[in-house]
Amino acid sequence: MASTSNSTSSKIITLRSSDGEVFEVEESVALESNLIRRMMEDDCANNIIPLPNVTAPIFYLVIEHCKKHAEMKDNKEKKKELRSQGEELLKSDPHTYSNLMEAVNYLDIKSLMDLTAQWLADFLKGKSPRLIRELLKIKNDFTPEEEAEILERNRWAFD
Amino acid sequence: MVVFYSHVAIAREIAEIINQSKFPEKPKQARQSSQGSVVSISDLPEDVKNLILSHLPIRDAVRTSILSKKWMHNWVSIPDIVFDKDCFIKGALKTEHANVVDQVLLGHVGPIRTFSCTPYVPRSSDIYRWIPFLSRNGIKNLILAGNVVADRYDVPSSIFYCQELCHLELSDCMLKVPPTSKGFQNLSVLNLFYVSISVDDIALLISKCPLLETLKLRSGLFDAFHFHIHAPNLVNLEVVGTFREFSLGNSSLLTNVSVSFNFPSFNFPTLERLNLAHANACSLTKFIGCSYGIERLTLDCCVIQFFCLAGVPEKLSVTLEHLKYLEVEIEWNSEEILAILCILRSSPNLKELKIRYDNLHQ
Repeated sequence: MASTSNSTSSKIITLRSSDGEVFEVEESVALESNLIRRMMEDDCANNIIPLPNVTAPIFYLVIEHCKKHAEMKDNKEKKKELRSQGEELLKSDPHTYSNLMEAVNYLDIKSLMDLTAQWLADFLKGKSPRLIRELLKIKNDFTPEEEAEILERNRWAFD
Repeated sequence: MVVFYSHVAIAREIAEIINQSKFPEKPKQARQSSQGSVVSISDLPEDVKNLILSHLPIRDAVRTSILSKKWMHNWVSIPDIVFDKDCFIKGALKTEHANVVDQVLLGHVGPIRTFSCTPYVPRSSDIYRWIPFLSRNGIKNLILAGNVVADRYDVPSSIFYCQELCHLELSDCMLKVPPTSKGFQNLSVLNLFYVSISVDDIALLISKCPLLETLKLRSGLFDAFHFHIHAPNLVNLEVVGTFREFSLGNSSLLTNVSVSFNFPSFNFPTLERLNLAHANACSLTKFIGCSYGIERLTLDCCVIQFFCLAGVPEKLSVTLEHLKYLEVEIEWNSEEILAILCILRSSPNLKELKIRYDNLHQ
């Protein structure tokens, strides 16, 4: 695995994912997470910070998105790039996407939470429930009677 | 294994992960962790699902109720209710539109942060039902701004019970401000488009919104008024209207200012008809006042002629140290050029000057 350092000498935070992998992350990136921030404020940061709810692959994704998000503030290209990567992941692997969202929620990274929610909302917008079920692998567990009842209750939304 | 990641290394690594849509090692880990990991979007925590639905127009949010049992009740508690054009059948009667809104509000549970209804202008009778309901549910952002020409509805005075309002946008309505009203103590954005409101009431309203940062006013044709702003926290100001007097007052935080007349090309016959030519208080100096913090100034629709009426000084009484951007629409007469020069002499740090020439009426 890569082991290069940035030229800037910012403080490094050590974190351990649920599957035991250890990450060293620049403080500025780690502090995007309110959970990690709180843990550091409570002085749990001298040792390795455990993240029992996040696996290594998902944590890679989270860090990457955090970093890109910080870069994209005034950069339309970067914004587009991050967005299309998010959309691509959502389309090709909705399960990983929901794992990413769950991890972002757990780590309490507000900016990224809003962003991933916005992408998913844009994805849902205008699509028929049938297509959404198919694309996001959601199982329809209603009986035909139950489904008819829901349709009837808010007919205006389904016409 | 200790993995040390720099930004560059992470970027490369993750781009690879995303592009290949698979993980370099133990790909199954992402899907099944021992901590009861999520397997489907449906299993995301309720507040995450609510956040997703909050980004959707209400019709799409309601439609998720049929996806599966795990989605059935999510929409009823979303805090942001946005009706866009797809929520209403084109050509349907206002009664049918109102029924849809009523149905949503009736089914909703919990606080409502945003209520936005822009595709059509509601009737007074609808607004009288909705506003009290929204005020009881802690409304923060209220947007009732259709972009269609419609009969003006009355805004009920109960709107002033919405004390948590931060953003208020109204169009095509009549607004009266009761003298005893507290205004809006938390309001930071106020947009009034073609709202019928008296000169005194608009002044009263602005004076009772102490946190106001953004103000956009578009008045109806020939609503000539004396416009003096007293809003200590105002940052952005956009006014389209017809006025006899205009002063920005002492808004030291004012950064972006855009002023325009509300007819396409301003000319002197119109000016005389409006009896504006007598106004001696509308000089450029008075207009700018002490708002020395302005960074962007746009004077559209030949509004600059209006500020020439009282004569153009060599320089303004304040130096616009922060002015970076100046945009002026002109009809090409010497008075206008003098006025532009006056602003230029008072703006030592100007970076960009845009002059637009409008000859449509010639």
